[in-house]
Amino acid sequence: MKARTKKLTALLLTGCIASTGLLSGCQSNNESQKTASDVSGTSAASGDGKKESSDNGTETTELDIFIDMNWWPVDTFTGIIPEEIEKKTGVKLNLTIAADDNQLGLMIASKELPDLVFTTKDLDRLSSSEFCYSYNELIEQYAPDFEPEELLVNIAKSFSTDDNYYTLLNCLSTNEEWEQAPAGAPGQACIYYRKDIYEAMGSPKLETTEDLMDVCAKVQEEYPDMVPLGLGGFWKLQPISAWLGASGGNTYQMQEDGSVVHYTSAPEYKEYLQYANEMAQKGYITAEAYANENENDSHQQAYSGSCFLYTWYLSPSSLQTLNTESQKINPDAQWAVLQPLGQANYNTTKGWAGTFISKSCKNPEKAIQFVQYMFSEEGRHLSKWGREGIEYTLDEQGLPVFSDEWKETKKDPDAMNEKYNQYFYLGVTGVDELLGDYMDMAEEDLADCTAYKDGYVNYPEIAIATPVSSSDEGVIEAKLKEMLKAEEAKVIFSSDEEEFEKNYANLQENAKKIGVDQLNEYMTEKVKEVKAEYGL
Amino acid sequence: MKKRETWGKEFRKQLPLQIFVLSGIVYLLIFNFIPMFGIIMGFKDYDIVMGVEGIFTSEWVGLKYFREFVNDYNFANLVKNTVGISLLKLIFTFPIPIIFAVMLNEMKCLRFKKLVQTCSYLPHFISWVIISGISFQFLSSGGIINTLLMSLGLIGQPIGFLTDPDLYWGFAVLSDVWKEMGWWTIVFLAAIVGVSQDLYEAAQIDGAGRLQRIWHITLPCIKPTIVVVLILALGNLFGGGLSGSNFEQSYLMGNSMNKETSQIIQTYVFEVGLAQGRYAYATAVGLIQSAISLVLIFSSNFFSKKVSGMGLF
Amino acid sequence: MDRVRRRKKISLEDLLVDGVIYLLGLIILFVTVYPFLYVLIISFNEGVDASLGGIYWWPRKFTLENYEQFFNDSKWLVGLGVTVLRTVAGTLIGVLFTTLVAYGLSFQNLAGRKLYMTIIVISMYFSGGIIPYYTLLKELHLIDTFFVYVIPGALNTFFLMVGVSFFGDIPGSLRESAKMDGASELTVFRKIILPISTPFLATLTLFIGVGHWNNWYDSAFFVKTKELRTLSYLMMEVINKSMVSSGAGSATAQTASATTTLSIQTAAMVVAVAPILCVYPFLQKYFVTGIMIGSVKE
Repeated sequence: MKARTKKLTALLLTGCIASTGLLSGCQSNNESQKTASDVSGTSAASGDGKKESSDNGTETTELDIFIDMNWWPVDTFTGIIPEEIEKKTGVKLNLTIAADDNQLGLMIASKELPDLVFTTKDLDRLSSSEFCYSYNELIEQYAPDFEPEELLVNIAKSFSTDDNYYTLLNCLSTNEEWEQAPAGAPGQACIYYRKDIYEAMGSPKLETTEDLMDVCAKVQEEYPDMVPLGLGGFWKLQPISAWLGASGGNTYQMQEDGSVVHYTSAPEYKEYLQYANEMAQKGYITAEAYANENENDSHQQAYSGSCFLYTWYLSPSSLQTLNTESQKINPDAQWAVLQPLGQANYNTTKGWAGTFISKSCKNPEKAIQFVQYMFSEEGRHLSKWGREGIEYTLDEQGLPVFSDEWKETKKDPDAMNEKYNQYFYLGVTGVDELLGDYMDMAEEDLADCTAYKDGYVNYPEIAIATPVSSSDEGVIEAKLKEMLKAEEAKVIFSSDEEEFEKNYANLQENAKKIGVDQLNEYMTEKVKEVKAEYGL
Repeated sequence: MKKRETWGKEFRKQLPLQIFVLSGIVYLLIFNFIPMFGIIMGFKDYDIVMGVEGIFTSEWVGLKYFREFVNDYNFANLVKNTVGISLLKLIFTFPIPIIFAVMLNEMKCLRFKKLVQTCSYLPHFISWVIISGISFQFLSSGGIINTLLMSLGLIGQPIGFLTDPDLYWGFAVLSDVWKEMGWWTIVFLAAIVGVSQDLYEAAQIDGAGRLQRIWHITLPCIKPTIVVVLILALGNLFGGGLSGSNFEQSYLMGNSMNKETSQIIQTYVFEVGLAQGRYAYATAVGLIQSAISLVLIFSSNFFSKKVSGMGLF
Repeated sequence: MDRVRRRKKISLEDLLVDGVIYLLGLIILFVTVYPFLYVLIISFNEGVDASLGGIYWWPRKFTLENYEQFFNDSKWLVGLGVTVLRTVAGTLIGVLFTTLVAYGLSFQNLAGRKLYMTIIVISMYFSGGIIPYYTLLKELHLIDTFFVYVIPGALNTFFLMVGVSFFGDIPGSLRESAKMDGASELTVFRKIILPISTPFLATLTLFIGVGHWNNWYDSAFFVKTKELRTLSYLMMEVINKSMVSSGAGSATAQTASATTTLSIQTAAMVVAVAPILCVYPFLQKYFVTGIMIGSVKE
């Protein structure tokens, strides 16, 4: 008995020691952090009067930034590009990457925001003086020479209820700018195909969506172990939807009469579903692939050679990854981009992600100057293309020409992240990003990708008009999304026409019940309003 | 007056014990009772940007969210799934351990009995996260089971165990039985071991066969245990019975294909609450389920006391 | 006489019953063990080769690469470390706290016992939801610290009830005799009660320990720092779909996300299951005593 109690006390003691050790460890950690921030805080205060030139990098301010994307591949502010940014701005970022989709919501709820927040979500919640500094006030006070583009400002203003704007979104370019871009296409879903197999089948005609059906039949016949069309997680059937004139993954669709409706209310939607249903009935797509939302798992299908066509995000690096990974398993595998088989896709984007300067920011002055730099031409190019004269030079058209070292490193994404780290593109435009990605792509593939640009339109007004999540319409939108997750799959995987009609009618009925009509009315009106207000 | 005095006296006399207990009570008051004020969110027009104060300062909306849920297009389906899966689990996960325990008890080869028993409750300690990973390996269209069935020529097309909405309920129940059967067997087996051997011998002399002995001695003797476990299971009916696995199963193994049958009230609450940020609404929906569960617990406890004289509290 | 009768029986019913029982036993054995075996096999097989399928009984291309990769990835290692630490610390605190409170409550004549029990039953079945709970943890400065794993779950109400009835069954005379010798309440608890409570303590330890080991929920919602993630959370991240980036990401963003293959996942699964396999043969003999039934009163 004695031995037992002794053991217990010993255990307890070690437990206590361990926990106190931890406790003190944590505390000292916290303290050191605090003093560091205090120092920077005071330095900021002292530097308040005399305006330091930002090029003078002797004194570095550390800012904490929360990145609300759980897939963010880099977690430190290191590499050639961040170091250069630090030199230019005197700002060093400490990163926290989101653990999951709900984390930012909880942080907002508890008003526990770090200095900076970089996010695509909750833009309307953060655009409030309760949580963040407004850009216009900070600019007036600390950066009077910062003149952001009017379009970006107008879009940002649409998130807030007062007349201030609290962020600027990156990755936006106007339709004219897209059109003038020499190569590549704006971000969207596309279909990749196995070129080696296609050629082995005698390169059958593949120019329309009907041809696609025929080619799938051929694949099924000649390669019974393959699924004709693999679905890349989130991207599902988006390209096909676009080619058939449906929404292609967008939530709202502009109708010919100028009204704007939820995509399920557009007449093309049913056509697309019928097409998808035909594919499902014939076994060209599988329910399992459709249900899977883990992109890594679906990529594995494509790599291992179990599908002929594969939907994924259009980008040179996707193509590169497909080829490299597939060739590990089958050295003959060769992927290429399938040219669009119908109508071009459109987008309703207002840009991608924005940087917010929270009310608890240690040094709002440095923060806004940092943002200013990131949106300047120099900062934009640096963050995506590297240092001018070393990583890239501009040709006579003003397009970047990259160094061999850069191109070589780019073949391995991990090495790229470690060496250069292109991930701090807080202020780049859509075209900047595009050029950075496409300028060094092989001619032949480039043409295929560029085909996705023809006829592409963006409707920022729809993005601006999209209801905020807490409004009645926002709730309707969220509920529709929730409902469609299951109902759409049910329609697509109906076993015969009768069932298809029944499921489709059911889907529409549910949409009505949730309030799709109210939403359509709201969107149509709101888009008109936005157009009038911002002159889009 | 007098009573209070004795209470105080008693308290002082039990001071060390009272300190143990009070530390626990204070702990519960802090970690369980303070957050309960959040329940009033379900009756208020609360938005997350309002912070903590908002819980108290926001406007009352009465039963608005409760009505919204009841009128939701998905309401009937959610209730059907929640109740259906829960009842099925009760029907299967509850008697199977009893049968299994009786079976183990009948095994004469002790080593084999021990081996089977020890292995059978291993899955109980493995998290659903891992189980869902394993089940993907086995049940996906390219998984072991489909490959096997196809190579045997039993099926032409792979069966969508993980995607077919008609199969989710069965899958949920079976995987729950697989995971928890062995664990609850322990409880019943312990009760069976306690049954006096004299009874069996007497029965044997009377010429009772093995099945008869099981039916007339083993089962009646462990009836009290069966009743207790049944109350426990009923109390957590909507949580998924004995193992409380409904949420994790639905969350980890539900997908857009089988959502029609896999989505239950808990996952719905989670989705509207955290993913859509509608905390007030989510709270109201959650409250409905808690209320039903509470009624179930108390009524099953009450009936059990009436019928068998036993209860949990 | 007796023997003759028994032998007669064996030929009929017994044989049939035995046959069915042993057959079922074998099936159950296979069905429970094989899935784990399979994961083990895949974890020792080359990843690319495994994706081609057809492996059932032993690795086709044996390799330790999956484990090497696993143990070379600091993410997994840190997760493993955090998990071990929280399991040890959390179990110690949880067991001790739950036991002490249960012991105190096991005295029928404890002043205010009825009130205490009501409070416990209410907190067993009611909670305020995640938002108020999160806010509370934040106010207590537990968010994003290691302690959020250990402190909030320190008192397990279910086992508190089990413990109350377990200690209640210990004859009062045992305690009284010690107290007459002038021993304090804590001494009685330590020297007399604890040593005879091994079944309860073992069950409690195993339960709380496994709970800590498997928990991913608190790591997902209450912790932001990457170095504080638990193994279970990381598993959940790779197995579950939460990895999907939403909507219109930017071009470069989509490509470089985590490259964990199925085979590393299986290695991670083995690592996550192994400690449980190691511990439980030692503790399992205790809970065969049917401790769970103790929670019921007549």
